[in-house]
Amino acid sequence: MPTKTETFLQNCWYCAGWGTDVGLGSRDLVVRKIAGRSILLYRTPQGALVAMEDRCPHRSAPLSLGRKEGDAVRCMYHGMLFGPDGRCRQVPGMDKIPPGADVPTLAAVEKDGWIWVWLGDPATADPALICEAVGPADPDWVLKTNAIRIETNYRQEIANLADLSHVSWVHGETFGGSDDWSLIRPRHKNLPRGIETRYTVRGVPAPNFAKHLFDPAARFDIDVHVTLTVPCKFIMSFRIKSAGDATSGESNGDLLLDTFTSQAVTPRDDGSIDYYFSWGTSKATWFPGIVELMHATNLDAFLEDKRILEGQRERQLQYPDAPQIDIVHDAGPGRMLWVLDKLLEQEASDHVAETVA
Amino acid sequence: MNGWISVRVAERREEAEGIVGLVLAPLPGASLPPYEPGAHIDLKMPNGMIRQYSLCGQVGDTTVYELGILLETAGRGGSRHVHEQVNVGDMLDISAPRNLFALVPGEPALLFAGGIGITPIIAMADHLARSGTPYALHYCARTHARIAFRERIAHSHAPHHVHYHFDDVPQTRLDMARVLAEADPQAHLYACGPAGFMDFVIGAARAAGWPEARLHVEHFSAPEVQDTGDAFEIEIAGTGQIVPVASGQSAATALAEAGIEVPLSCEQGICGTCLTTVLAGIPDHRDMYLSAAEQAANDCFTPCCSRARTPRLVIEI
Repeated sequence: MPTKTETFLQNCWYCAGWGTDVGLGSRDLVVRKIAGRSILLYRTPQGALVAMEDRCPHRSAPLSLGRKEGDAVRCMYHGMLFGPDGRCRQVPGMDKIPPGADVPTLAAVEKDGWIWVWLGDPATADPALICEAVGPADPDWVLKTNAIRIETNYRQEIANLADLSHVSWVHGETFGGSDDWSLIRPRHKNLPRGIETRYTVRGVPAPNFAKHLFDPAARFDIDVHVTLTVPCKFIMSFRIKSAGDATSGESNGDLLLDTFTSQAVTPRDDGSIDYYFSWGTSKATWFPGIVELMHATNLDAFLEDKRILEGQRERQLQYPDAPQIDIVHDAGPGRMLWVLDKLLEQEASDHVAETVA
Repeated sequence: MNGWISVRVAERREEAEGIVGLVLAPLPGASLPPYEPGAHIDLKMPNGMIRQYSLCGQVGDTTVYELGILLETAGRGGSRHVHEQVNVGDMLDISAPRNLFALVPGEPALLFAGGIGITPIIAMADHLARSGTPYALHYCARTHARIAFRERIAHSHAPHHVHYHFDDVPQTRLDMARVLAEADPQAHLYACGPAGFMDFVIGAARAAGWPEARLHVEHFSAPEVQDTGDAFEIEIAGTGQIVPVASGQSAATALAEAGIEVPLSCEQGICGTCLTTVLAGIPDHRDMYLSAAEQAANDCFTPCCSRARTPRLVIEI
């Protein structure tokens, strides 16, 4: 039975990890699987980032099993040497370079501490399409970074992040602590490549991970502002305030903790994702220990997501034709997946047009 | 959407005065999708009419589905057709089950059934009894003769869980204030029945301060998504573009044909993906996404299924 293969956006920036993941060491040949392709990442002696297909054009050996030589990489099967532009410089024992002996390279950009690669034609790579985030080196913020892998289809991760009602249920032991998240039906604003969502959760108890820090009777408001763009870049300002008395708009309580999280989800293939994320507080509201607690909690919480998403994936593969109903919390996921499908259709029709022309 | 499932009428019985029970079996070798208590299916009549009916059989039984269908003399003919024309051995088409009326797992439940509204409620009550979750079943009917599933209820439910209320026996009247006051403070309320009955039950619960999150209702046939309705116009704020919506055409389809794309997902007014701001005009809300208060505000609508009460709606894209 043929397995259904996901089509991925090509004209799109995919996160290939944190900049610190790719060092200058002799062994720093990092390979990332992105949208079905294996991408080799390394740095030249000047620190410039190189991204190329992790496949020798001769017999397909992974270049990531090779050796760094200056700004070039040598395949350690038959010794072919490739420059940072992907051009073959040397075939040991052969005077001339055979035609086609080049490795495709990708446009790669470092921004806000992340590495971004563009899968489409490097000439069309538009850095303006990289999301706005707050990087771990930003002087106004105290942030810690992390990464996990989840065995799921990236559409399910998009749906997870486009609907935070699941905080009440999936994250009951961490971010949650009451059913308030599940009662909110936020209004979403459409963006050309995603959605923007603002709302305030009012009068909630402290989340479970911080319950012991506060009087049990203490109540809080949380102002949430999320920008979610394709393929799955989740940028959120999450401001915790003392419970105010405003019933609409932003909370009018006192700002207690100004937090910010930048999260990038990259599909590896049909059935797995790499997830790079940071969370922390503004310098102004930081206090000792808080970012370490948030860092540990964030990982615990994403392992809660991993458990439910991997269980969901198993059931979806087990019941491929079973209908799935919709509920009111599907507006965010519905909009995000609609935007994604629209862009995919656009790429498919552009491709057809090019082929015909 | 999903294809239709062919089923055979394996059994037809008179459940009560005016109520026919149908047992539907899959074709040989096929099975039926599992469902949760509260679920319903669409039943396609041979004349093309589509009606929603709750599944009232034993949850977990995927060898047959059971329906209870009340003859609605004032209806549009769907139930009459079943009562007069459908017999054992007939083939019918149904949809896969869908659930808009799910139990909140593990939470105590107060169940209210009005007349034929017993059909989802009986499946829920059986499930609660088997799972050991606290519950009470209040079953309101005009007369004794109109009670369905009487033996099943007597067999599966301890008498103290079940309360019958008959219109013709005043001392059995449903005292909502008392029932609500004595309920477990964590209980969720589930009601299914005719509109007047639902207004009575839900109105009483709201008046008693029950939060919306603990009130769950199913109109005894789920509201149908209808594209039919009078033609109207949509004006796009800012550009002034006018998009005519024909009778029998959805607003979303008309907008798409005019080159204005609205995000769509469920296309039946449930998920809210297409929710669009309305600046002027009054929508004819046909969705299940907005609450009654949100619908009454008339500042947004779901163009996948909702229409207009005024000749023109001005919307913001």
